[in-house]
Amino acid sequence: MRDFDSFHPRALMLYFLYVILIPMFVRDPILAGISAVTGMTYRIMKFGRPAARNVLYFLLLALLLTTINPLFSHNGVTPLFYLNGNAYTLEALLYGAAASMNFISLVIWCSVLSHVMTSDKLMCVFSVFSPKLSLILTMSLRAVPLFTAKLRETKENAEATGLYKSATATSRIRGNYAVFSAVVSWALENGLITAMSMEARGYFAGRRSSYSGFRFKTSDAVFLAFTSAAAAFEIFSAIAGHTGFEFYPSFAAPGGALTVTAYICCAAMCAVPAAMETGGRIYWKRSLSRI
Amino acid sequence: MEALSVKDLTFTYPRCGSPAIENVGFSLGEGTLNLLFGPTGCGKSTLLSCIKKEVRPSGEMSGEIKIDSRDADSLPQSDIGFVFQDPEHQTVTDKVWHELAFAPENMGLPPAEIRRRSAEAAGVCGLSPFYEEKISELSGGQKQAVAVASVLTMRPKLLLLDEPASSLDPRSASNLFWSLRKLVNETGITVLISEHRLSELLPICDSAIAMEAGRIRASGTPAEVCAELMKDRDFFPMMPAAVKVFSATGGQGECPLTVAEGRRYFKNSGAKPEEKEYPPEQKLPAFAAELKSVMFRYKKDSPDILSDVCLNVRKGAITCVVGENGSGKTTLLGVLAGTKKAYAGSVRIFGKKISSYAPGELYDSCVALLPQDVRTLFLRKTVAEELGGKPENVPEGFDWDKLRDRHPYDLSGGEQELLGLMKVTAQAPKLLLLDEPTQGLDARSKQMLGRALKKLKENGTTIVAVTHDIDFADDVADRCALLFRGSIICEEPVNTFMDNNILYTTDVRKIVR
Repeated sequence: MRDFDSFHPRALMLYFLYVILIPMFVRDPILAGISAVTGMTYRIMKFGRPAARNVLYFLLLALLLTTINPLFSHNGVTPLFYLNGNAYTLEALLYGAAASMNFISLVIWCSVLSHVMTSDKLMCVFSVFSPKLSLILTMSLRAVPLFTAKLRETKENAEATGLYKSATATSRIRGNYAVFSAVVSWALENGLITAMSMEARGYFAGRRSSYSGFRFKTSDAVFLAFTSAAAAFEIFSAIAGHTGFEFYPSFAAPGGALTVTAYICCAAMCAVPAAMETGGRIYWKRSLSRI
Repeated sequence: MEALSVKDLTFTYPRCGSPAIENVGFSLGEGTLNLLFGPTGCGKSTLLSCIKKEVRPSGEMSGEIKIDSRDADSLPQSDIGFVFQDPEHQTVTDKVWHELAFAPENMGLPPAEIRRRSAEAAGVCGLSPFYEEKISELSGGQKQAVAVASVLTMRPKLLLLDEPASSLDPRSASNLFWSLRKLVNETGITVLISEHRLSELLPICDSAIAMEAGRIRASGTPAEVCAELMKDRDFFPMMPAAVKVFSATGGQGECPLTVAEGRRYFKNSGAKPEEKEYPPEQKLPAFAAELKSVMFRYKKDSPDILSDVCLNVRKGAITCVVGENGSGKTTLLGVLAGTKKAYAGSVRIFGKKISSYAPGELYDSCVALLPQDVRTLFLRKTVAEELGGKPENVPEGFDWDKLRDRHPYDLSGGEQELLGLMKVTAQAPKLLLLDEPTQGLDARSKQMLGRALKKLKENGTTIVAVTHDIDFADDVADRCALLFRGSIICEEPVNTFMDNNILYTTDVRKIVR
């Protein structure tokens, strides 16, 4: 049994593109709702209490967004009441509810993405486009914190040797400049060694391969095939008009067997993380009892 | 079988009249561990970097370098591995596993092969527990192990290391040397390492080459080389303690190298231990700094780094604090320098509570700290600018006229240490704090530093140095303290301290006890 976040990064990235982009472009509150609920379930399973507390916050946000929309949008044929001579319509209210559901599912899945896709995994994804680009990324991940740490250390030492003795603004600026330029020359000096060490390990010798430590296994293929099929069906049904609500001028919801199938597909796709987490826990308990 | 043979190698840097190395010739057997040593500036680094063409400096080279009887320049890059002095800057990527994969990636190897090589290299260098860690969060010794492992993934035939242990504490250095020995034994790789800390490395080497002024001074088995060089005034200070004892007692028979061999030799020789003379113990009633039950930790929920430290630093004396890595030595200095605030206990500097000093007052001719990495002190383009003109007391060994217009980074390690010392003592501090001042210095630079410190003491400066270097402490200190798990175990006159300890004492004492 694998954890959801142990799937191959490239398969995971495609998965996140599906679950984030499809509800974004198909204006269908039921799709968005399914995606938000399943995403939230996974977050709560992973983070426990703090994530559960977020639910209340999201509901408040949804309420706010829903009630605000009709104040700005006066389309729709069913006025509920008039405010300063403008219609507060049922359609705009429903549209607000749908849009806020979309927004919340987006926020939830982005937070899941940022938790699952650590820097190593992003690197593996980027190396599809260019091994050089991914190397530059990993080098800057290293260089930037190193530079700031050196800057702090140099500044502390400069203070202890009396560089900032007078507290005037000009002396501070001058001192900071001296520290900064010293650290820059330190970085350049070391860049030389880094470049030599890269060359000594054959960097300029020829075509680079890119290693990520992640293996694409059969289960990755199954995961990818399953989610891609579900996503393909959802896209098809959206284009064919089986999903997607109409709000203006009047509200219309889709229906029929294909619509229900599309919702089931969406639920199946979005529930993968939560289902795997549950399966993983049961499996773990059973394995533990055998020890 | 000769893994490496060098003949008549001469190398001249551009715009230099005389060659940096001249007519150097030697050969190394396959599957051996070989040491290259000599005073700073003797051409060790130049020789090593000439062997691998990717790191060879620009200049004029003649002579021949052969590996397995083939011209070194015609071999694939991956046949020669090179490890640089500083572990920090030769690192390219952010994580350990990625650094190990870097060289095989460059060779275009398939992932399965990269996985195998990384795993093997990590195993042999003891990096398995840190495989997924960020390199910046490792200790210096672990970083250098990463540097070695990241070269081993190329599966080189010859491994060159340019003073890889100079920024490491003695224990990490010893770990590195022993892991190289194991590597040689198990894989049959040939290793050539330059190093100035001989006592640990020399006994486990198969052969040694001594260089002086760009030429080979002696080569052969470690015992042969030591026997030949022990009468040489320039080489004597860097010799292992056993060799010094051997030389002082006549030097008959096989030259001992390790402490154990030295002890056996000394017992059999029947010589009497010679009492070293220490300065007479002075009555120094006044204290420059008083620490009482000082407690320190970095975060609320982290463990205590200093727990119940009580230490009285005597005015006008040099106090050395010794102790192993992680015992809190650097933190202790930070507390004395006022950069770290104790959460309990009292710190008094010259009788006054450290918290009642006004901001800046503490550093104004009162306390100065020389950090471990002196290079972080240098902010200007030349030595003269750095000090704002020639200081009154230029330490012996610092050639002012030659060095005044150089960039501080272009000085040798010893010269940088002295420059740092001049910079922090420019305002004549009454209390001088030093963090590992001998790290990476060769024997001669240590002597120069020791003399400079004694001179400062004569002028009335109180000095506290934390150090791993017991020999240095024995040489300069009036009093010694042992720090263990965040508290001071003992604080005594240096002579008593060295006599009472059997491990925290000089190698010579371990031999002649």
